[in-house]
Amino acid sequence: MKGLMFSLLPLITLVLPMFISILCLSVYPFSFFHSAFTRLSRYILIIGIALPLVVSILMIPEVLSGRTLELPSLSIYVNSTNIALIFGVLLISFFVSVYSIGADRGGRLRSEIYVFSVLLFVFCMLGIIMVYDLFGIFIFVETTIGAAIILVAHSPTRISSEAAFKYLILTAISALFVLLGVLIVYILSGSSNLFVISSSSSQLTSNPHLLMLAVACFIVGLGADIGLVPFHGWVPDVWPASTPIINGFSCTEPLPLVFGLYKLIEPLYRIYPSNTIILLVGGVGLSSVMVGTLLAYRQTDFWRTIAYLTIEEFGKMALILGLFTPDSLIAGQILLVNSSLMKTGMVLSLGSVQICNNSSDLTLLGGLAEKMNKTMWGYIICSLSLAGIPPLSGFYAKWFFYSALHDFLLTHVGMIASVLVTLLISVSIIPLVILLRVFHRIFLGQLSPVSKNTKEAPLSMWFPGVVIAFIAILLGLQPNLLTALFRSS
Amino acid sequence: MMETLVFGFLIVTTVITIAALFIQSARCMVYTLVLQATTIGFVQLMYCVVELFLDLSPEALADFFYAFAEWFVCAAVVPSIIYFGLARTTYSFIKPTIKGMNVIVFVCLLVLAHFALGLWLQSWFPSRMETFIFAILMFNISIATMVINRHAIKILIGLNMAENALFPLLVESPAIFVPFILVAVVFVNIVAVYVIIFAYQTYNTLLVTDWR
Repeated sequence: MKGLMFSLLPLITLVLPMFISILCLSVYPFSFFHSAFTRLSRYILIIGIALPLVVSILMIPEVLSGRTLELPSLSIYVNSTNIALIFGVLLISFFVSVYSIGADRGGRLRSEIYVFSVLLFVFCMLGIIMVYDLFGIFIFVETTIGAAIILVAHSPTRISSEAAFKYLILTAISALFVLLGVLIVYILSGSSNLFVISSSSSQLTSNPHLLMLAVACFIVGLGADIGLVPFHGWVPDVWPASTPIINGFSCTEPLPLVFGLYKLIEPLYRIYPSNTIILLVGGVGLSSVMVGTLLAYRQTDFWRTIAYLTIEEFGKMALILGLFTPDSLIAGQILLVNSSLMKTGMVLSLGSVQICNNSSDLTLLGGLAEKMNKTMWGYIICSLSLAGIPPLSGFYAKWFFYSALHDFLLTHVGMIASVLVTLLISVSIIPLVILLRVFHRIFLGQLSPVSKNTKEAPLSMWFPGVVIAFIAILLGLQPNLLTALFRSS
Repeated sequence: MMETLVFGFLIVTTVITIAALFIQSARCMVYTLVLQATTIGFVQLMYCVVELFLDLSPEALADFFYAFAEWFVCAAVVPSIIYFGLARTTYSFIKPTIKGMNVIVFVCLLVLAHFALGLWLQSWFPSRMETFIFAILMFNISIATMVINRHAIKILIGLNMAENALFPLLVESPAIFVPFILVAVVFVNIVAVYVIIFAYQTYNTLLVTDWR
């Protein structure tokens, strides 16, 4: 009985945000509820995310004891390979929902639709992580895109409509590639369950060309949804066009999408272990690292800088998960969770800067260290952690990343591995320089005219950033807390 | 060999998809979308009807229902959503960026390339995927329709045509997922129309190149 109850926890985690979002939507036709709902919407959002977060915490001890919580009829599985990602999505969403108490300045959407879209977005992301079915993943990816586009269009800025349309077209085409890949694999294997596909594979292995075509479709499809080079065109437009709250929620996107890409390609690699698959995923990842790093430096708008650094981080995630070794899976997951969390801290801090100064232009800002010191600490600690500076959590994420990469390269290219990893470490110094440059421009130097009347952001806005910074320090000093979640995978 | 009826309908659908490349009016393009979706889903729907009459089983009824739902969503619901978006914006007549002889040459090259690809694939493609090459050809033509048009609604129609192009493969998908896929498709189209209306209200044009 207890076992059955625990098996239902993933379903409860998944359904709760959806249920609350539908409740919110059902209020929409009743205009007399509108003003009350608008006042309560931020708290409803917090409740809608806090409840599944609590349920996900209940799942952690069970999963750490080695159990898989599963509902095979729905292809829902929660085990050590995805529990940290589920927790990560909900924790980040929770921080952002707390941030929205002070940061929400309204937008184009009525609050009922806005809360519905956010909770639908969270539901779909949890679905991508939990579901191990080809069609299930496609449906969740398609719906995630729809919800994300509504949220981008919610921003009252002039550029948001254009950015939302660009995002829509690129990601909708990419979803068709995902569908094409899904259909190819399903028609060849006769099953849509990823575990069944990886165990019975005769049709797939007898058609390696089609298998490779499916892999290419998944890379193009999910690569565009994630924002990997060369499918990244929408990323630098969407970040400046969205509200800081939506940018905060966007920080959770790599967790399901990069993991989704891994989930779709990994069974195909297991049954047809071709180096071409590694080269395809790794090539896209490496080019994202290079392009993201090089383009981030030139930007004068800090959202565009963050957008390019995001592409760089996505590249690293794809690169490491695309090696398909046990170590690279652990390293990739740690990198995914840490990067997403730290980027959230940075984005929320920068969002506070934008809201308090009405500008995201690095050439107009300056000298905010005294006026916004709590925001500053949130930003700098999260930035240093993201860049991998010890003794912060990011250092371990980067350590595992380079270690797994080095081990893989050593078995494939011999001693050149050290040279390649050293080169990559050298390149990774550039994001640190860029993040410090942003810090210098915003917080140091003389107080700029636009910031003369600036005050520190409200408690609900700086607090999540400071808590994330505290988590970075805590996990840096006690890395076992982070690695324990992944070790058993 | 592919059945003659299926082959014939796929050719008709491909011709309709190609016609979309030349159409200048957004309203006519909506009608083209309806026509393309109607023809592409018609064969599968007729198969299900025949199967339903021959074998009055719950499975046959379910298959018919899913085929009808797919066909109805693609041929009626989605075009209606797009037409609603068109009605909420000013009627505008925006020509494609590439037109005339260039498009004809492009289409001929595309068809020839896919014909050659089809011959190459024939030897090792499973029989269940014999419609694949038509699906890919229509998909690519639809993407080309999106690329050469600057009218936001025409781009959206091109996207839906690309989605319809995968219909011959989509009929192979498990029936249980069909309603969810259709809901997702309708949801994305509603969002798209909503974004286009917002963009139109902001920029006062549907010409995407002027949205800055």
